[in-house]
Amino acid sequence: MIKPLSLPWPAGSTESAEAEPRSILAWFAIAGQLALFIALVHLLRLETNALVRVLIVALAGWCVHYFLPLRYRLPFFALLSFAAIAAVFANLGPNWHYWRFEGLIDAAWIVVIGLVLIEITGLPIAFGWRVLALVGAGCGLAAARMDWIATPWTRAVWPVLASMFMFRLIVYTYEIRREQKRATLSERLAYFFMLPNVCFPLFPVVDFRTFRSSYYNADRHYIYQTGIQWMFRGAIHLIFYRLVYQRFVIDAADVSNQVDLVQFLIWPFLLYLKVSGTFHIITGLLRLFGFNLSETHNLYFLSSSFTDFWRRINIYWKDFIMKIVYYPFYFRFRRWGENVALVSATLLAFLATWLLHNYQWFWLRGTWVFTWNDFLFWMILAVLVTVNALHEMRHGRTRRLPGEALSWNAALHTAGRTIGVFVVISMLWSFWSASSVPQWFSVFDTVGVEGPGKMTPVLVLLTVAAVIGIPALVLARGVADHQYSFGRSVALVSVCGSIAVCISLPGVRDRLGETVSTAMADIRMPNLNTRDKANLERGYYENLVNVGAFNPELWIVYGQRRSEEWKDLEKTPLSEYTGALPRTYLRPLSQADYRGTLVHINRWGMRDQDYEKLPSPGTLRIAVVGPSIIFGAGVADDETFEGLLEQRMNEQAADSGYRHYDVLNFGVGAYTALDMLAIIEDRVLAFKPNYIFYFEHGALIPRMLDNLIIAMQNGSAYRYDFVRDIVRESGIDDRADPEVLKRKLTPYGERLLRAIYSRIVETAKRGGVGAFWLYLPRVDESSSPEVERRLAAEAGFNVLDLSDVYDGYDWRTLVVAPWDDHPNAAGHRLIADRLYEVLRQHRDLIPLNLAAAPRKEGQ
Amino acid sequence: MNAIQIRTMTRDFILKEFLPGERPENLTDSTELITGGILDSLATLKLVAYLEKSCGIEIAPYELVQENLNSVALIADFVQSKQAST
Repeated sequence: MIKPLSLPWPAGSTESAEAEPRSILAWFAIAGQLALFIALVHLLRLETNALVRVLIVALAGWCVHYFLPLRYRLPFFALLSFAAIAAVFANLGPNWHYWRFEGLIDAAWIVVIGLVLIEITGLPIAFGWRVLALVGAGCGLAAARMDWIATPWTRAVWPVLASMFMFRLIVYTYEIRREQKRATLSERLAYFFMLPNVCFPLFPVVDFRTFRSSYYNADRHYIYQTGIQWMFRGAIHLIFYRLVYQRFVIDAADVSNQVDLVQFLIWPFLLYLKVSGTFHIITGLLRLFGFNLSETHNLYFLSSSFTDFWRRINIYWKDFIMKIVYYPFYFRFRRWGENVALVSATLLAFLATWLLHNYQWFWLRGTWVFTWNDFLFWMILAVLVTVNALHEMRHGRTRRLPGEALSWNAALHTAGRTIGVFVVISMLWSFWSASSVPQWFSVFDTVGVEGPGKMTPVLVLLTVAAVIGIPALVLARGVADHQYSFGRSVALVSVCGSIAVCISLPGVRDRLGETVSTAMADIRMPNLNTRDKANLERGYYENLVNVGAFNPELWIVYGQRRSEEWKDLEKTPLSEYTGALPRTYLRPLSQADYRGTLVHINRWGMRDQDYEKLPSPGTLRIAVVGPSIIFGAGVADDETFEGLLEQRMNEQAADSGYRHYDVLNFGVGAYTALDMLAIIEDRVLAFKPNYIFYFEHGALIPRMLDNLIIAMQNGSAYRYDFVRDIVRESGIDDRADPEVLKRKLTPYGERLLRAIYSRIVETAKRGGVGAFWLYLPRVDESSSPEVERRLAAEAGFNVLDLSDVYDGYDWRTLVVAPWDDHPNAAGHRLIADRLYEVLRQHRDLIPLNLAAAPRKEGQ
Repeated sequence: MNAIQIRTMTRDFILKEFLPGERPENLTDSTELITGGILDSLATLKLVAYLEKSCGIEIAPYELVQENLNSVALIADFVQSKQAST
């Protein structure tokens, strides 16, 4: 807490603020800290590019705003908010090549629709008619949101417009019925078009009365500096979020002991750091323009009761529900007694919260989400809060004044309750985020840790208890109630911010050792593999915060994605679904745009040039099978590594003893081991290859199980004896929930893979074909597939390793796009070069007679 | 009932119900009650019931806001204005 520079004055007293002295030093200090914050967000890519643009607008605006007389500040803030909408939608930035003037049309529509809605609230007609007119306008917009009515604006408009109006209109309408002093135009515009909303759609609720009454109601340097502190705190939340996101997420299928179980139960709640971080940044940003709003998400991991959790987490939402639902119903029911009123109003408040979360989902995403997890989550929380509230009503709760300490006994009790609340809320949150109710319950059949590590679960639980309990104890003893002066706060933020910015600079972080460098890469890179993404996107907030997951148009506006559709291969005309194994084939002679390039498929269903079915005499033929890297996702037809390899081999064919080399590309995106076995048996061998190159990258077994479950449920997996054997032995019911099936199949993962590999090798041998297993990592892959490698060797594959293929290169320069870690054209050239060398070095295994040809210019 | 009486009875009620054991001098007329975490929703409802009963006023749900209840001084002003209007 910062010690105010002067005493607060009553709201509405403008004279004091007008007379407030200006300080150039304070101006420099705050502008400098804001610049540091922008540098940190940019260097660590903590949020979208849209936030950086909004922050730059905010910094430029704030530098002027500081010197304006109070009466001009609010209109200036409203204009700045419009400027931010234009800057984000037109993608304005230093590089004018990226400007999108067509985006200004969307920006203009947001303003026009908003002004019409605000105007309806002020129509000179009876209040009831105004409400009816608003409901009518809302229904019209809802029809457009559901695409029943064509609109002249793109879908990018909806989340931003919704965040500004879906709840604020309710709050504003509630207030105008009783307002004694009509809000000015500037107040209304500032309230609805609030600056941060254009890049943070998940910040819809602010109380209008608080928004007005908190405006410059305290020393302005205090308000500004607190805002800066909150913004940096928000950045810390986002950094921890990224670390959790990259390192702590575990899938239900991978839970095999109690330590995994603890991890599985905790990570969904920890991911809420993303929401709390953005809320801190938003409220901090608003404080920079004089809105002395209350602190939200204040130490919510340290809630000492369920009612305390409800009060701490999103207080703007809590205040909204209290005002609109809880208090009115409580007052209506209290004639039947205090307890009846309390229970009824609390349950109705949570029911409204559930319904309004669905309403929010609709406006942000355009669909409805009614799931049992969602409903049960809110109802269980309602029961917990109600029971807690009844207890507090009867017995009171322990409170303390700021600066005062609880007794050791009371503080220890508080710490103990805090640990308990954290555990229960974590469990509830993981339940909310689970893909299904049966999947969540299935993780509790986890076996214990055996052997020397059997005490590990206890130690993990004790660590969790200490991490939550000790800060709770410190808080209860009042140790954290220090008051810092303005100067100390500026110094602390500036020093810590400068250090963080320095560490984030590429030239510095790469010199700080592998641990720091890797951690920084985790923070900067928001991408996960497809499976983990699917896992994460089950959470309510993950689904709403991750704009890219639900609104590609807005994602483009945020500068995060190019305008090309970035679909999965299976959703393009290049692919045809088989309903069997392999689950898809490439459609012969098809062509389509795929991830920014035109892809052609030959008459045999390969992404390759045309070949005769049988090799010509003197030709050495290699068939490559593998997933999307082999297919060449994101690169042009003539840039795939198999094509480059073939070209290079043929350039030296004259000296090799072979007339020609054919390298046939049977790679298909999303293929895993079972699909590859099927395509080898059904198609590859018919082309009479001399060798089969089977490519793998990391984390194979979980992806293989996903595909196996689909194949089991459509019956196609049962063409293989080993699948039938495992199903029979395990007693698995293939009609069960896929997530439950995956958990049950996970212990059989190695056995399945061994069986698949053995069958591929046996099949190849019968056809007189050499079988090679090659490890080719994804560009940002850090793990090595030791299990898969061992199984491949045991099955009889010749194992080759390309794990060092990207060594010496910054992997960020080798990916197709920041959101897609497939290798780009440069990456494919590296793979072709390295593969050529590996094949040449292993002439004992594979006598291709390759020459040590110098690399071609430009490769 | 004058402002001083209302402040005294309000302070006494808050100390007894919500801050037992606290030294009375620590709760001043300007101590922040809602933003300071003393008056949460349940405590607010208890206080409202007490004020309605003791001061003979009726409080509406929309009046449960910081401007009316965030300090002992504000509460006293609010109660007086309600008494005056009735």
